[in-house]
Amino acid sequence: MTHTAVAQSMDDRLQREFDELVYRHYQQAYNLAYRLTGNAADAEDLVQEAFLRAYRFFDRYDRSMPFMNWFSRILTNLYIDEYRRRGRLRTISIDEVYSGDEGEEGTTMDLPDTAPDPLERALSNEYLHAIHEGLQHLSPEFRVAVVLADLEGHSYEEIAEITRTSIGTVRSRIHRGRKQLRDHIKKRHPNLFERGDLK
Amino acid sequence: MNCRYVQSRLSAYMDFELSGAEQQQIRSHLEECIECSCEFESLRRTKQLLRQMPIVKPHTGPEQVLLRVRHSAPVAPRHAFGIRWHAPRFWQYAGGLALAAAIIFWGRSETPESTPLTTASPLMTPTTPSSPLFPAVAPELSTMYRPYPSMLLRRTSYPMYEPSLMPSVSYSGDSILGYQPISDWSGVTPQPKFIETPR
Repeated sequence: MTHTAVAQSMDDRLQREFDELVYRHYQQAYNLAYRLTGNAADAEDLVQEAFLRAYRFFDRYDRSMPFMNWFSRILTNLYIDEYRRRGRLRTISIDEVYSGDEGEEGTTMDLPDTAPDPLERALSNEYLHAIHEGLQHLSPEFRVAVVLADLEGHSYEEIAEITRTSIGTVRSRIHRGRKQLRDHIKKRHPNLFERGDLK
Repeated sequence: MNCRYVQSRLSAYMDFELSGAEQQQIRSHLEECIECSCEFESLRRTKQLLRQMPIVKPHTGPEQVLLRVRHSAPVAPRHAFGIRWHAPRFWQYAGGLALAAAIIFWGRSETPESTPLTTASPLMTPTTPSSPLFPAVAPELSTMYRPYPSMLLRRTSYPMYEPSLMPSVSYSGDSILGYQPISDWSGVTPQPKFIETPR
């Protein structure tokens, strides 16, 4: 086999492996990007750029590490550094009034308190929007930590590996991020936290 | 164990990320302290809300990513010798090693068989024993493989070991060898040599 053929064979093998990984993890990657950026357009840009970088450095991917952990590191680094530098982060004031789907500014969606558990109503779009909006209020570092822990289900050790920080830092970011998120949601939908023994 | 300490550990406690003893201590505290218990419940509710966030489906499929990857400039072009610019490191060095081997074998074939190995060839001047860089541990070898000063051959760019946000690597010199001589040395053809340069 000639040198060119060997190189071609290796390239094809890596190419096929990369293609399979893209197909397998694209949905999860997009979901992560969407929760970080907060909108579809930026999420698509971020995912494409992250996969592009993953492809460029694919020969250095350590197969002993789950691909999504390695890829999440690329994506979150790209998100924190690149997007912040470009000033493309969509920031929302903490005092900004929630705008509902009907386009009525200044409305808050208070549903009648009839359900036994408010959590069961959390699937409604208004609550989902409030949670999603609350995520966007967090600083990028807190948001990355909270999303990786609670939406992606990573352990603290994995998040420390992905974000290249200590477990203590991860623990602090998750805790502070959750508290900020809770305060944001509670301010707009206090009934989500009202339940018997809760204040 | 005071309330402030407990409340700073509530998220880690919730995620089972504390040691067994600490988990037990915080659990005991929560059974007695209403304030910390309420704080814990609100954080637990926040995590539950986050976990109910649905998976977001992208508007575009992975084909879009793969299309962009195929057309990415630094990766797609293939060199005439079948080596990518961002090929695995082995292939980056393969050309250089092959050239070095060819030059060495060519040089030895020019040497008369009767010439002892310790005699310097016209192309290879013996290294002085007092050389600080190359002490005369094995003088007979140093006459055969005279090392060149490190300034003569310098890598023009360096492969990156981890995915980062650094610009993509592109070789301005020889894209196969990854280095180029920056000056001639008294008419002697510079032999390829890989020099570890601190980055």
